[in-house]
Amino acid sequence: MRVIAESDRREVIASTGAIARDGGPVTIDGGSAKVLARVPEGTPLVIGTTSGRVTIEGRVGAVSVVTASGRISVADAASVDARSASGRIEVGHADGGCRVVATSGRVDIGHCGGADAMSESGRIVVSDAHGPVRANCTSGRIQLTMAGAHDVEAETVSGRVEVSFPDGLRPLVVNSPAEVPGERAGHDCVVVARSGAGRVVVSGR
Amino acid sequence: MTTPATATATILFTDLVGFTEYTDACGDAAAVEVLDHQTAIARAALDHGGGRLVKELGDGLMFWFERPASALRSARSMLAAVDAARDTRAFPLGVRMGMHCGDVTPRGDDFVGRTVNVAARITDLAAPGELVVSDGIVAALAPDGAEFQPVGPVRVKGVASPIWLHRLATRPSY
Repeated sequence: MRVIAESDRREVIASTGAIARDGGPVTIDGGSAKVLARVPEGTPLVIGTTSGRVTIEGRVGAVSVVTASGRISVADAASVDARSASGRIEVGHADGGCRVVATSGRVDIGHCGGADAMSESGRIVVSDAHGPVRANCTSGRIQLTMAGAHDVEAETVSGRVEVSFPDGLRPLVVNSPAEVPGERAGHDCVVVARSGAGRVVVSGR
Repeated sequence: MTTPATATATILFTDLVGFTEYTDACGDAAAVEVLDHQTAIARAALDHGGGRLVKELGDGLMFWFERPASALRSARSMLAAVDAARDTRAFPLGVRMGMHCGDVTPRGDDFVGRTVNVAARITDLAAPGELVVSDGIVAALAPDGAEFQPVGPVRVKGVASPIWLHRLATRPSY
């Protein structure tokens, strides 16, 4: 499924699939069909598919995507809730929070207002977090780049955890076996980071 | 041969996130401890509602409830107990849950049918510390269903029409 948000568009059109809008978000139930939809910029979306890649291009409102099997890519949204039982999930930019559940697949989040991400068998990367982050990974690495003093809760069973903050910030690292250059007991934000079998590193940059 | 009586029920599944890897990393004894702890939490939670633990499935549990309201009470209680145990590091893994209601057919102490299959499938789409339910549950709980947030329509293998999912979390998401 491919959804394109266009700034000069006023109506929603789609090649196929069940589309509904009852005063709330635009709902697209794609099944396993190949769907191309065009929506006005800023449109809130709720999308469901059986299988196949879901790609959302352009700027949309709050978006929820759930697929039984397939990769999900969201370029730019107000907020994101994306779930795939089997497939990678990518979010380029979200003003608000990102809730991402990837049962088996990597999670990549760019700019976000906060994130709550889970992957069972893939790494989690949040590269520009402007809010608190919670990351839970089973057998993969967690790499979080924080834009400011925001709380972090990161946990992986068998991977490395890396959390980096801008230089000068001093997080309070608690309940963690983390390697922390400089002082461990700051007060700017709280970091809880654990790994069952990997290194935990909290650093400045 | 007589056909078993089919009845409406609510089925709840739990799943320990990362249990296999935890067992590899920490050993069998620690794994057994986690399973026992999970079962103890579940049994304590069941005291609040009219349901029963049907069976253990590796690191997951399957429950039967007569009504969605008692299932929700027990699920909430379990999630809160696991969260509290995790905050004190007494419980090492997250638990996710899925719930669906509809007709089930008894088979001994067990239950089979589409409702059971759907409940198991939607559990895979929940995050740790989260309960994902079908729209049937939300409708049955109305007007109290307002506490759920929509997730979206999902197609489940073997089920023709999409099933709308909703989420309930004990902790606020970011």
